[in-house]
Amino acid sequence: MSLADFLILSTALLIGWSCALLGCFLVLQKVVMIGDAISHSVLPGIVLAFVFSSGFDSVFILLGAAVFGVLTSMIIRFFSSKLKLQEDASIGITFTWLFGLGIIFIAAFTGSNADIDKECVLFGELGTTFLDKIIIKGYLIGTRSIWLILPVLLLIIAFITFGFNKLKVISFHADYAQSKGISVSKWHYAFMLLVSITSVMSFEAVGAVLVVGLLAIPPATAYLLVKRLQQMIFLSLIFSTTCCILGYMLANYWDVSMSPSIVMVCGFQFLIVLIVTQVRKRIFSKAAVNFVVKA
Amino acid sequence: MSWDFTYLFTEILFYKVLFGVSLIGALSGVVGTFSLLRKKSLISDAISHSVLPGICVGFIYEGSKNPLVLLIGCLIAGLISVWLIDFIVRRTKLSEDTAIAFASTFFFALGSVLLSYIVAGDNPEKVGLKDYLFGKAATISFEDINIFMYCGVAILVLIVAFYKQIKLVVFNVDFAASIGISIRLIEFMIAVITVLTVAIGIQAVGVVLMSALIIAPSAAARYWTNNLVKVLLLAALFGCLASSLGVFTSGIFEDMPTGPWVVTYLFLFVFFTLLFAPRKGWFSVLKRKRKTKGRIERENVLKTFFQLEESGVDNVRIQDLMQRRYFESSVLGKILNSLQKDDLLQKENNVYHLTVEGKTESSRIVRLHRLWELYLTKRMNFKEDHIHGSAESVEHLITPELEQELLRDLDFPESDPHNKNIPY
Amino acid sequence: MKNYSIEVHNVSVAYDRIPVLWDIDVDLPIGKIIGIVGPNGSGKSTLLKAIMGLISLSSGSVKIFGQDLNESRDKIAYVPQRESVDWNFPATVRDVVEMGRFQKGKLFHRLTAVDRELVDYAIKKVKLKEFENRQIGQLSGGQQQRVFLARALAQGASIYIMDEPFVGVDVATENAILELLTEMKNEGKTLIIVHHDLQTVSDYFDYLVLLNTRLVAHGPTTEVLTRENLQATYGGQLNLVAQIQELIKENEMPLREKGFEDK
Repeated sequence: MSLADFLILSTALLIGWSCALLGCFLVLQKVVMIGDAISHSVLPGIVLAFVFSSGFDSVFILLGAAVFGVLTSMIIRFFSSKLKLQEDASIGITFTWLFGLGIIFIAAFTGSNADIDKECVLFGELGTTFLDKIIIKGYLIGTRSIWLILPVLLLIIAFITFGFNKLKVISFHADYAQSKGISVSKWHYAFMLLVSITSVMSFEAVGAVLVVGLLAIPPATAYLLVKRLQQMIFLSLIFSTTCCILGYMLANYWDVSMSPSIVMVCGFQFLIVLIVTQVRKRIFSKAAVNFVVKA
Repeated sequence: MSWDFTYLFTEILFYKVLFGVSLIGALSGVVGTFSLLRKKSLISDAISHSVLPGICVGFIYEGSKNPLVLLIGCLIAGLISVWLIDFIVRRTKLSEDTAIAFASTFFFALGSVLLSYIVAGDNPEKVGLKDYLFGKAATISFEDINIFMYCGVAILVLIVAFYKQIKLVVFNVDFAASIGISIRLIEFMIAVITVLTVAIGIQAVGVVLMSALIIAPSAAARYWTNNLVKVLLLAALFGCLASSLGVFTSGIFEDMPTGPWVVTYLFLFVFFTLLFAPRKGWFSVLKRKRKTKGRIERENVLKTFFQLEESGVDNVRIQDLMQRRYFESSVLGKILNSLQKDDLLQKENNVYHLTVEGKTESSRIVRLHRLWELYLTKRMNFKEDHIHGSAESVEHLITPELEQELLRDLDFPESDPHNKNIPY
Repeated sequence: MKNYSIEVHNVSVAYDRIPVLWDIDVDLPIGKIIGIVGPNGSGKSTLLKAIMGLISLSSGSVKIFGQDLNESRDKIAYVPQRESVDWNFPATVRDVVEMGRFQKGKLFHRLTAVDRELVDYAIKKVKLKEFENRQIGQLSGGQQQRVFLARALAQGASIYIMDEPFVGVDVATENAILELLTEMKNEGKTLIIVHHDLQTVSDYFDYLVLLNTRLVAHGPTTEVLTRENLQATYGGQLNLVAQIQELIKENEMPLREKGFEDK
């Protein structure tokens, strides 16, 4: 494995783990589409960050873009609860508009010889992240992408470790959590902020659309197999790891784009688990029927 | 960016694009109405992402961008995606939003991998295939428009032929099933027309933004009318209008893409609708609120006059009113003026008198207040010290018909629970 | 002065501007099994949610042992309707019962040995020991209801608020729950139960609150369970009220005028 391989794969894994950890709770709270909306609507903020700054000071503007993501989830809630717009429509309209706005920004600020490639917005450029090396005193200490996502992963791990019980109660039953005095909406928005930060920081590497795949699919796969939340988190980390590695190898082998290939492997992994669990269910119910008939 | 208006009106190309995109917009509005009313509009997001691998496989199979083959590819891929979502929701414990997120990202990733495989290949026809990602309205050809027309006519014929069944399934699935309509057939049909619309639409606005064109027009239209036919027509109009505006904008500003502008106009339509729609719109609600508040204050002033006269104060001054009940002084002045203008009140030397009409009106309000208090104690077991608050608001609401009903129910009573006369 | 477990003062609640609870004013005694009874849509569950602070009140206030809810959360345990959660959630019986021991203030709360013992005790009490490691979706309806009961028990509260605990449970569970309720009452706990089945009311409850948007009657079961009261709770007569509710929505009426003072 070359250095470039190692750096790219590390980036993919850090992003995959961050997404898997957050995704478990999104799947259980049935708000995956809000996550989808957030990951699309950070685009305008990101474009502005690219246009108006360079280098590391853009990190702050990127954090600003993350606030934009939380704002989106607030706008969606405002439309649906205050203005009585159907929730699915409220999600669908808000995020497509903001994403479109981002594309308009790209066209307006960069013209046809764009710095940000429009396609990179969708897929990211995982394959070239290793070019942006950070070297201090002659020692290579990683790439820009790694240093963007690593703190986010640590933040997520801290958030979930410290708030595990609360997140569990909220995801199981928000009303019950509220009755125990837990401020459900505060935790909700804190969580959405993390989703937003994750989509912003992994944007360069995997793009807007495919972040959702990493958020939704490994946890969904794990959910089909487990009976406890701890197991679900653990398994989705494993699934996330395998699809990053396999997807990366596949992309190299076929010479195709990297992040789509990772999400594609995620999807196939889900389908395999889905089929296995369905077949197992059928065999079990057949066995049960046979048992009853014989008895 | 360069400004070029002449380009707009001289080029036949422009009209061709305008026509094609408007057609897509109108069709999307109509088709989207059904998903919206079934509260399944986000499925269109999954569908629009899912057609990408269909296009790629179609291209690989045919070796060229034959519109018909690509369309069939889209149709198959979209239907598989809809089926997969349905299967996951029915057979597993995963919820619909997770299923939609899975289908849209998985198919999109699959399509992207195929796309990068095709781009890396050496088929010269591959140029322009990437345009399906964000759409490129300018590439719409006469052959495409031909296909749009055929698809549009087919979709409309299907909708008209099955209108009754679709309407029932959309509004009341259980009832539709009970009278023997095949829900699965109608659902399949709705899926087919949605996928078809998406398939022809992505050429103009691209896979990522296509769902907005399906969702937004009907969401806006829904606020203006309750009649399904009118919703369909309005949605078609909104879709058509936003699409044309998008085409104009990208025509005027050279580097501007069409799709995002179409979506922006759609969003503006929805936003303005939410603010200005009759009855359900923000301003309409605010206006009603203010109107009610104004009426309540006015009626409270009249009521206070009545109470003062009842307790023997004949020459009412402003300070008497203020002493009896809290009013904001600025508001009170305005109300007194408007009451005089309506001949309910007379003013002489800073002393106020109710006119005959004023007396009738004020006694009506006091009557309603006391009737409601009586109703609460007699019929609803309220204690006497808990009825005043409710009556304070309900007195402003009771219509003449309700008043008659109350009177009949209570048998035209003479006094209220606090032993005060009920004025007639 | 007499002590009450819960005092509800002039509480009104509106969903989407339509009042579902109208001026409820009732004090509930301590150490009784109290039934909240009324037809569908009469605001029973809403009253529970109002007591638990899960919805905002249009007017009025609720006191628990004379204190605000925030000061007395530990004394009150909530047993929600069984249908209100997704039982596919990846948790075992034990995981759910442990939720009863989570506390508000502590950021990184680990269960202590005492907590574990209380959880154990609660699980045994509802006879689910042999199922404690089973995923909750694999239980019968009655067993699921008992999981919720165990969670409330583990909390060690003095007041238990239960939303329709007898819906969709088997006879064995019903008896087990009843036995448990009586036992808890004898320990001095207060049990407040939303119930809709009139047949069993006199067997289950010592004290009744009859509700239909407004408070119809409250008091010891033997006194309250009269024909007239039931007529008033379940029989019509609400046509007028329903029409008023519609008018309130149409006019965007404030449910209570804020700041008015009638002198």
